[in-house]
Formats: sequence, structure tokens, C-alpha cells
Amino acid sequence: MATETRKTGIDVVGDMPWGTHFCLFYDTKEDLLDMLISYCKAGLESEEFCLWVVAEPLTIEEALDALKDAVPDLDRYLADCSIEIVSACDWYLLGGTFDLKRVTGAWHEKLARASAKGYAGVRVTGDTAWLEKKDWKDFCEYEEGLNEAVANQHLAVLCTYPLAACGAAEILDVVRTHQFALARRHGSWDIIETAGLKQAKAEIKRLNEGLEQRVVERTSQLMLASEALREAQADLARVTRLMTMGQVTASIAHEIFQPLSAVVTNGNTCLHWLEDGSLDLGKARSAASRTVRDAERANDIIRRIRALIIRSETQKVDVDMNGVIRDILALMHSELLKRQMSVSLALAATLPPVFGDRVQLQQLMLNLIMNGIEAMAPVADRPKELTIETRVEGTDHVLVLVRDVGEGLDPDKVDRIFDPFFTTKPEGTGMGLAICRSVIEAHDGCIWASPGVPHGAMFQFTLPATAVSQRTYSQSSSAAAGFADVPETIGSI
Amino acid sequence: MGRVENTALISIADDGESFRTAVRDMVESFGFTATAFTSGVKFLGLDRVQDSACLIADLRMPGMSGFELHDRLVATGRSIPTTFLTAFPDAKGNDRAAKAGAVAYLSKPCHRDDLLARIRSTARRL
Repeated sequence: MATETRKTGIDVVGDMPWGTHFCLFYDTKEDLLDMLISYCKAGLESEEFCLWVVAEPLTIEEALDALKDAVPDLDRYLADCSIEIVSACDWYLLGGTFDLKRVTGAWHEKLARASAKGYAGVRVTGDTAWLEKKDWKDFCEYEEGLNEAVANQHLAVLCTYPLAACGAAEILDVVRTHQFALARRHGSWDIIETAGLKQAKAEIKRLNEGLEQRVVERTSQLMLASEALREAQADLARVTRLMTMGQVTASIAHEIFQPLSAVVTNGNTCLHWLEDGSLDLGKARSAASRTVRDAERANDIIRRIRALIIRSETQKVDVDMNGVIRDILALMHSELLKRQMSVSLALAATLPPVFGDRVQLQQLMLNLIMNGIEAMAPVADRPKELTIETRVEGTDHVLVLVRDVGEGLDPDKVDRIFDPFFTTKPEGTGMGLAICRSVIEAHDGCIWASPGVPHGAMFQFTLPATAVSQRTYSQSSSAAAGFADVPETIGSI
Repeated sequence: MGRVENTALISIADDGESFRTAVRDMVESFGFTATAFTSGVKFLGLDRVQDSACLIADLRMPGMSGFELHDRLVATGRSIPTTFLTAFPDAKGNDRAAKAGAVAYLSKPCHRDDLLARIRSTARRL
């Protein structure tokens, strides 16, 4: 409401908000009429109810005549009571004396009536030429009270004072009790702002600047905080990744141990073929090349572990989800074996790459596979098999499915399984699936869980495939090419 | 150490490709004929049991462990001298291997001389 402005019709003032209470000092009747005609005309043209209180020497007839010249439709406005012109005697001095409360009450009555009739508001002007010394103090009080009375109302008030009747003290009183004053100086109208108004404006300006400064500061604080939050999330993801890997450290160590054992064995065999009594360079070369191959396998495993433990900036590249799955399974193989679990793999022969952060996508698979492994731990009456499938979904999505034969999902809790810190496992952190969801969300994908048939749970996610137009032609996943030492039995038990 | 000319068939069961091949090569370097299987189940399924002079079996294999394979052979009256290889040697496993009547319980990677000695001792038993 406070922001709605009205035309005053007075050039030097321009627009005013509702709740404006200002004054005007005039020398001559012409000056007064000149201003008030414009003021009332603007009000009538803006659907306002106008009340003009005239005082001697100006008469109602003179006011009407002047207004008629400026407002061609005046008769219509008068007929529907859009404007009332009354004399000060009838308005301020009803019953012979000035009664502050009665006059204020009368304004509000006019306001209520105008508002009920659908006017935009009430525009008032009142002349004070009738004012006598004895009423001056009361009238000042009334003027002062008006400031509060008009605030937050659809009401504007212009009080006019004849300069001739005002001494210096009176002018000071008038200026003090109005928001601003208009006076004719050097042949043109000027606005005289009160010190209080100036101060208020300066204060508003200062507050605005302070506010802007605080907005700038808060914005930069928020940006820092959100940066810190992102870092904390990355750290949390890394820590949970390390915790998950910590659970399977022994098994992962075994993945390195296995090819290294072969290196030692092949090395010994190679040495044998190099001995004098049994020299066979062909067989020695063959054993040596197996040694190299097995050492490279050990190296591959270490590379995969490194990929999961490094602290890296998010970096999106083309990622082959089949390669990611094989990478993680290469690390989890011994764990699965130890727990007498098997994996049935049904990976799409050709799968478009997804555009994503490799470490995050590896963590996604690590978490889903660990989730399945842990879900199947208590199972004793059926083969513990984890099924992992990939396929193209629709025309442009990659779908990955991980199904376990564990205890399944509690229908009451299924909605919450992706929530942070929600866990059904005694030693769970509750972060595994929450991280899965945040990784999926960061990659514009979807993840959902449903019951496995006849046992267990099924987790599925889709990720948008890299559009052919964005696809880079460099080899996307060296991991897939380096996939090596997962025994052939893994998919066929 | 000279080459031992011996046509006896040595069977190997290990699910890990690297080590399985390495052991097979090593056994062949001893002068034996060697054949390798990816699991105990495969070994039984292909029925090379009768031909095998001895068996070198990994303990931890999917589907059927080395111990289970040995037990199965004993239960079906087809017991063959068996050397267990394990990446996780412990006293409990050692006891169980001894009770099962195994030739040896060796930790991976096994020393060339150790493995040869076990196979030779097996050959003498044959």
C-alpha cells in the first residue's frame, strides 16, 4: 500500500504516496487557486474523492468557477459527489469553535464513506485563513496528529496558509508539523523540506546503503558457506568411501596378493629355465612375460584402489558404466568369495557412455554392491547371488540394476532408505544409499528400490547417456580395457 | 636340480587365473604333465580324478572349497594325494589339512623346492 503513488498535479512535487500531509504558503488568491485547481483536478482524474475546504476571502463560488474552467466534467463530478467544496466555517468551526477530535473524526468518516463507494482514496485540501491566534496551539496539535492519522490510509492532505497571516514562529510551527512545505519564491514554487524529513531521507539512504552492504556481505558468506558445504560433502563422500573400503581391506589386499604370488612363482620358474642344466630360453621368456603380465594386474588393482581413495575435484568425462562395474567387482571379488557369494553379470554388449565423475560413479557402484553383500550376509537357505545388469533404457539412458537375495525391504521404511543416516544395519553408517542418491542427483539421473522376486531387494538407476554430439572420441575408460584378474567363474557359479 | 622325467598327471584347482597358470607352469618345469581347473566343481565334472597322480588345490574357491573337494573325493572312494595351497594360512587350516590326510598345507606363494618336494613325496607314495 505504501508504495502506491498518486499524481499531485503539482509539477514541483510530482507523485506522492498515500499518507502524504504537506502544506503550502501563498501570497495571493491567484497563487492559491492555481495550485489547488491542479491538485483537485489530478484527484478527480484518478478516481479519488476530493474535499476542498475554502476560507475567506476565497468563496465556494470562486473555487467552483475556477475549477469549472479546468475540469470540463465538473458537473458530473459534482452530481455524483466526487468532489465537495465546503467552507471552513462549516468544516473546522462547526458550532463556532475548533474541535480537534471532531475534525479528525470527520476526515475518517469521509474516508470510510469514499472507500465504501469504491473511490481509490480521499484527497483533501484545507485553507487556514480563518485561523485565529487563540486556536493556533490546538490547530498545531491537530496538524501534528494528522501525520499519524494519515499514515497507512488512502488519504492525502494539503493544508494552505496565507503568508500574510504567518509570522516567523507560525511558519516554523507549520513547517515542523508537515512532511514538506511549498512556497512561492522568486516567482516559482519551491519545496521546503523540514530538517526532520531531510534527516529521515538521509537515514533511509544510509540504512539502504547499510542494507546493501549487508546483502553483499551475507551473499559472500553464503557463497563461502555453500563452498564449504560442497567441500564437506566431498570429504564425507570420501570418508564413507574409505570406510566402505576399510570393511573389505583384507579382501582388497588379497586382490593384490593373488597376482603378486603369481609373479613370485613365475619368477622362480623363469630362473629355473635359465639355469645351466635346464636352459630353455623359449620357456624362460614365456615365464618372464607372464611375470610382467601379472605384475601389471597387481598394478591395475592398485590403480583402482587409488581411484577410490584420491581426493579429487569433480571432473566429468565419458564413463563406461560396464567398466565401472568391472572395476569395483575386481576389488570385491575376494570379499564375495569369502562370504560365499556369487555375482551374475548381464552387461549390455554395447552401452553408450554416461557423462559423469568417474570416482563418484565408482562410489555409487561400490555402495550398491556393498549394500547387496551386507543384505545377503544373514541368508542361509539359498544361494547368495548378486545380480548386476546394464542396458540401454529408451533411446538415451543407461540403466543399471543391482539385485540381491537378502532379507528384502521393509515396506514401512522403503521411502526412507535413501535418507542420510537411515540404516537398518547395526553397524551401518546410513550414508551408503544417501550418497548413491546424491551422486545420481548430481548426474541428473533417477534411483529407486523395489522388492526382489522372490527374495531380496532390487536397486535400479538410470543416467542420461552422453549425447552423441557431446561424445568425445578419446577412449573413455581405460579401466574397462585394464580389467583383468576377475576369474571366469564369477559370472557362472 | 635336473628335470624329472615323469608322465604322471598333476591336477591343479584354483580359481585365480594368474596363480593357477603360474603353478601349472612351475609344475611343468618340474617335468610333470599338469592340467589346471578353475574350480573343484570343474575338476570333478571333467572326471580327471582317475588320471591324476596328485592334486594341488586352492582352499578358497567359489562353489566348493579345497577342503570340500578333498572330502568329496574321500567320501566317493576316489581319494588322491592332495597338497593344499592357501593365501590365508593359519593353525586351524593346518590342523584340518592334517586331519584330512593331506600331503601338505602350503602358503601362497609356495617355494619351488617345497612344491617339488611334496610332489615327489606323493610320487613315491603312488
